[in-house]
Amino acid sequence: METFVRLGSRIIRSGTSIVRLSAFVVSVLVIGEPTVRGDGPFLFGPPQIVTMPTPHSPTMVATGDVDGDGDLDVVVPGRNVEGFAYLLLNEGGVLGVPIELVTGGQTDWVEIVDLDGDGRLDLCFAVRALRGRLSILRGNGDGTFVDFEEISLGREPRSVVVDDLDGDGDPDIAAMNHRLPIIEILLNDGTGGFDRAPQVVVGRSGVGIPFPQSIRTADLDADGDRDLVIVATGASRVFVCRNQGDATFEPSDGWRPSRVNGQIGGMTDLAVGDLDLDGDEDLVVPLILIGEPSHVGVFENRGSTSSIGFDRDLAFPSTNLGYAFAIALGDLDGDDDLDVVVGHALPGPVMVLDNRTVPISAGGDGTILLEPPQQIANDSFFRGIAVADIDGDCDLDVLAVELISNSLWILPNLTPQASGCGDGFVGRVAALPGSKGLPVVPGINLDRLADLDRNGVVNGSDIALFLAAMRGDRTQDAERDRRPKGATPR
Amino acid sequence: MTHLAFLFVIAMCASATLSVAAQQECGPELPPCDEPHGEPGCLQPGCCEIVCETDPFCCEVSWDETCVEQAAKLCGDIACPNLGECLAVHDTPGCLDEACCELVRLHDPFCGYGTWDSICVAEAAGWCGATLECPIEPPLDAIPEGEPCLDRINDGCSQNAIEAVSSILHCGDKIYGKTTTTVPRDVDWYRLPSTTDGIWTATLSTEFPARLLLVTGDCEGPIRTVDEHHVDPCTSDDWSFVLPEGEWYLVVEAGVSDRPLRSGLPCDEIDPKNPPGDDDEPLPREYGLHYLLQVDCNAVDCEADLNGDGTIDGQDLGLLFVAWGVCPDACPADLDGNAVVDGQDLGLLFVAWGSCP
Repeated sequence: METFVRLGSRIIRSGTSIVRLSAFVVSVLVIGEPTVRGDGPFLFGPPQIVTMPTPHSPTMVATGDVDGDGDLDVVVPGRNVEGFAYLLLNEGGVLGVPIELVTGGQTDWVEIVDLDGDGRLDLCFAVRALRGRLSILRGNGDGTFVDFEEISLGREPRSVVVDDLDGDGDPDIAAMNHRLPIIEILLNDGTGGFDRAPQVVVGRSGVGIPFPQSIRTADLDADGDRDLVIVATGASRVFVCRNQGDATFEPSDGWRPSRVNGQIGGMTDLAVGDLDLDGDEDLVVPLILIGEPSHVGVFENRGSTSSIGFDRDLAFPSTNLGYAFAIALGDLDGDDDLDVVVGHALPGPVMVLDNRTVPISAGGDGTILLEPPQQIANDSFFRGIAVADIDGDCDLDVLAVELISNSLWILPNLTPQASGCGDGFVGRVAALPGSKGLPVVPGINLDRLADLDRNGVVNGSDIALFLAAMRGDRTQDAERDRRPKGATPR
Repeated sequence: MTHLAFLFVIAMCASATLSVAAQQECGPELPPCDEPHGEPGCLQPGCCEIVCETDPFCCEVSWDETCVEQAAKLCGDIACPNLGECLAVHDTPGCLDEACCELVRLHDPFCGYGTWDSICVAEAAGWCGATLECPIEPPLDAIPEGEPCLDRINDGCSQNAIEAVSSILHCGDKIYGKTTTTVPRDVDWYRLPSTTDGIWTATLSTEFPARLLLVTGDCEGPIRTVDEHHVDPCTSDDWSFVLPEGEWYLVVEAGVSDRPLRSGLPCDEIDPKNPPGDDDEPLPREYGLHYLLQVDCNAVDCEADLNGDGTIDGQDLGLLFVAWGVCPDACPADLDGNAVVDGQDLGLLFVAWGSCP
């Protein structure tokens, strides 16, 4: 068996090498002049596509070395009616077949982190159900996990973030509920047990339903603790809850994104990073717009330590094909700044925007500048994006989950790296070899789109809610356990 | 003829008796309709009656497996009412108080088919206190809110507003307002005068579960809800808060526990652009639509203004003298709250002499 696996790996590696070489030749022949390393544009090899073995509707992708062999493994949560997530173990840059992880429900998010301090990575899933809960799988360190345990939450958790919120050195949990504007704070007792701390409420001031969708942490005021950042799709706002150092939080402040031609974009995802290299963390969001190209909205941190403030003048087009849904940041060309990767829906290109900001420290004006987007993949609905070095060549590859085709895409990075890492190819490609034809008509009939957040306006936030709920029709059925275990027998 | 009439009366009586008997077979003393049991009838009256009309055996002899199957087929979700107190967590759906159960299930379907968990209990506590309308009679000096329930003229930062759209509120104003859940759902924003800082008291009487929010900031951001206060339907409640200088809004919204009500307060006016058809059933209304909001500012700072004219002067001194001595229950002249009007109160009045802040 082992022989077959090794043989398979060799064949795949050989194939990959041939593909990379071809891509290089094609890029040089088609485009001509090589470019300076680190300036982009980007060069990605053909995707390795892994289809999940059961109908899974993958929602996001996360990476971590769960088997302790030094490379990054991949976990794919999803709206799987059987309550599975999938683990793909990485063997020297080649992902194995998806392994079922029993989570007890449909999962929209996972965090891979050592919760109990035993040196092994655990998994913390947000179970998207009206009987909302976290499903925690403690790792054995070899890629296997003990049976899941649950922590109850509110209505339909869609995202969770694990970070040290109280500054005691162990990872705590902040979990959000989509149908309640309440963030649950769970403090780690140091052994992986959790105590509830006071809840945080977001988005109380809007008439619509805020529908929180995504949560991250960041030290936005540079005071050494981790603040909460939440995207509320219904409210079309990013909310920040400032940490007072002990996992208690100030009331949330909400900001709309920059308007594009007067329109407020719908937001479904969020990424945090120092885009302008000024030492503080900025926020970027995908913006869903009607009648306009999708954009990437930037919340540029003003860097104040006494309060949190953003400049929100900047938004960059990401595509006129489909709706921007998922976003990730990573230095894809090794030039020490963060580039932006955006997954779109209906249709679903994956676009990369090269960060060309010249920081003040390098004599520039520090104004965030993203180059026009470059397409690196295309399908129907890329619902989750991540960047990680999957093939161990010290550059960042792009991982994307495709909702409709039930698959994970790994896009190997062949971009010349300014750092000298990676494959070292220099060149340009106009489009990914083997890309599908691009439908140009957005996939949503706007006339039939409802005011889902009931704020009186049909806009990008309603499309965002629609997209965020896609493939959610099974949730109710999956959770219709009218008589849970232990209830009165029939 | 007489004989026939007698037979008719007998038949009517028998029918009425059977009907009463059938009604008695459906009710809270019985097990739920989705469980077979030895007794006739079941807990949920609506479902029980439907099934028994089809299969009288279920109400006359025993609620068996066939009746359960019929219930599943004919009744849909049959969670209301169901076993378990509405204010106690239990691991079955629904709860015993049918009206409360239906109300919570309407807003939170999980409570109707999942379990009656702590969220359902919190919702029941917030929403089920009083479901009968308790009309508020506006005082003569009340100011109408002035927003027809199909318009949106004071909805703050809702929709795409760049700047908050609000009405202005002054100290002492009494607003007779209305809030509906007709889409777009209504929320009423009142801007507080930015020049007046100090202690404010908002008194809200309401026909529906309501919350008052204290909001500051800018529509585009940052915007913050600093605090909130819930008021149960058919009650009146005071809320005191301290405002530093700045732009502040007092917001009235239907809902509780950080969940706005999504339905149950339909507009009671006819939309001229979309009048209802003859066959249209009116949407169910669970509460009245009105509220009375009164705001008082700097109440504590001007306690010695016993006649409320905005100045502490000889008239207030006179009122204090006539109240001299041990205080009865309500005693405005007892400025230090020690139940006696005495020299200390006189001192407090003198130090506050002059115009109220």
